Amino acid sequence: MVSSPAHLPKPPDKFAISAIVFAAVCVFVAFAATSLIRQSIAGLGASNGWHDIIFAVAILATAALFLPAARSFIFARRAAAARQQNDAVSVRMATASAKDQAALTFGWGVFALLTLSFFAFIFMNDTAVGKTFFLLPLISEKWMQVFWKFVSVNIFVFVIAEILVLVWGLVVALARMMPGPAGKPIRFLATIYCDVFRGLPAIVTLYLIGFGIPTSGLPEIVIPTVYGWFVDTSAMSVQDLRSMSRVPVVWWCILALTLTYGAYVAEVYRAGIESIHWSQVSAARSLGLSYMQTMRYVVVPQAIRRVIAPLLNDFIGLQKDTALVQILGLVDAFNNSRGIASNAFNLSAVTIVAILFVLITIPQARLVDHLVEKDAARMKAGG
Amino acid sequence: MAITKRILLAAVAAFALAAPAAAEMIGNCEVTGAKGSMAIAAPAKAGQFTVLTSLPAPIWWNGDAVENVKDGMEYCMAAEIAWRAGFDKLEIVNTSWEAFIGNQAQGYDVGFAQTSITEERKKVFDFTSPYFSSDMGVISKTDAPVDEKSIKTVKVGIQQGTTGATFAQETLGIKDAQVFGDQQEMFAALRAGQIDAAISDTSIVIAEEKAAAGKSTVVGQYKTGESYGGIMQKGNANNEAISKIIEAMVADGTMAKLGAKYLAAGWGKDPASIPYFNP
Repeated sequence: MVSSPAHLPKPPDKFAISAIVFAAVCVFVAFAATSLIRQSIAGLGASNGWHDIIFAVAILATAALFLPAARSFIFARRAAAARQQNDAVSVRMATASAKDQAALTFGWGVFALLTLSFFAFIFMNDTAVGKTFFLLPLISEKWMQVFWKFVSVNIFVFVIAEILVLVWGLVVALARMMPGPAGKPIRFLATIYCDVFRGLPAIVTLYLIGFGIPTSGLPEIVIPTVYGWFVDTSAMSVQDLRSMSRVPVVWWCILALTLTYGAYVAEVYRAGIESIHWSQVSAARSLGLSYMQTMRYVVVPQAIRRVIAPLLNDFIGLQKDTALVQILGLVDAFNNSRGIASNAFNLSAVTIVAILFVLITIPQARLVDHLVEKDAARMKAGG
Repeated sequence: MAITKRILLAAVAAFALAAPAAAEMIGNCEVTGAKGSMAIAAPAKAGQFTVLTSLPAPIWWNGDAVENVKDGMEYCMAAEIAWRAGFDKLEIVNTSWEAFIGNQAQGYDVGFAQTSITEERKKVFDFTSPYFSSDMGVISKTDAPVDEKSIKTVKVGIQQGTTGATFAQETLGIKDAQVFGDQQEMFAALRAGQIDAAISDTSIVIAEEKAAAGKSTVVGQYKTGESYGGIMQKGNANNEAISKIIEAMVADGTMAKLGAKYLAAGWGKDPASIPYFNP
């Protein structure tokens, strides 16, 4: 037996053996999890051959962990053989490979364990967990109803609000950057607006605007009067007049969300405008452009290009906040699904809303990533 | 037998005559039965009786936060039950209506929130014996009252997960109602004129009529034959005892006295005086 010189790595045998043991544990867990799921499905009376095939595939896939584990073991043996012959290079190579293969076993093993326990969790307690969140018959029955509410309310609200926010945010940003002592009162007002509406939780703004403005009676004074200029309202009952002049609640929601997100977006615009070097303004002004022309033709077009990514981020926030409009009684997808959930004593309808929101957010999140990358590349290229 | 509104009113007079003895109190409620007459061995929280509700619910629970509630119909009912079950201490646990009726709460002995007993809900809860018979009421703006016909065409507000919501959508066939999570938002929308009418239990809309101080009026009601019961978690060992206490309270007139003191006085009008609509 040649004693191992100090400069050689320690034998990787421990790694190799624990990889094999770990793979065995994973396969055992796979058996346990699939048999638990199998029982639950049998309890539902829905078992068929396909399930067994899926279970077999899951177990086989887990058993594939033995491949890297076995390779790790083989490399460990090779390392030991090379050590006998004092071949330091081979010892290092084989040891490194053995460790790599063992790490591969552990990495995928953890993945397999988490995946298996997730499915076992869903099917646990006689699929109680799964039925609570993923009751497929309820989901497929209510999908179109909730989807339609999502399109007609949530998407409607955020598309209109986003368009308004784009304009309103720019107005506020420009107001916050009004130059000179004459612009000071405007700057002051715009700053207060941003502070207040960025500080207010969106749901509080919704509540205050959606209930507050109508309760104050303002629309009931203004709107019938304006109506009266065009239509003869003298013969109408109070009720008809009120229902005719009522601002639909969806517009209060749009107003509240526009005010909230207008404050955020104004800050984003301002950051973009401030990032444009001041020499460009100087240059534009010395060419004879007025302040507003400078903004319009020189600064803002460049600024907007720089802030598209953070703008989209705020829009994702706005889209998610459309789920808050139900505080005003508007039946959006979430409110609708809550009704279904309370009638069915089951949360699967709310899962539909969760899926819809995630589905609509993912493409935008990827787009933001892409834009940020592109922007970073352009900055590096000196553009 | 659950109390009806007529018995309530009859009991007002009886109550006025009854001379108060040196009374035991829980909150501002005088408890009249024998302490521990139907003792509960293992309450949800040791040494006290724990009652679940969904605030605000004026008249039923007077006060706008758990700490302020010291009387009210259901509160005093719960106090009486606690007393007869052998406790001096009554704790209120407040939750949203949705969590209340969705069986999300735990750690309580009984829940009172003007809850109608229905077959569907019986699948999820054990109900106590009924303690109040309730109809479905319609409240609208005083200056623009709705009637039996126009209720189906105006903008109606309902509360998510209530029997009123089911009634409006299924029995009356109202499709584009505004749906609120809790009653305070529904009534706020009515006061704001965002909706023309709200449909909920008569006992609840009457309370709102009083709170709205002339701005809203209950214009009609529908006969439903529903009764209120307390909810209890299914299969709990104390359920039978609690139900028995309520039956005893109905039988010995305690319930009618409470109704006279809190409901009839709080409403200031007889629910039976509200005209009945045909669905």
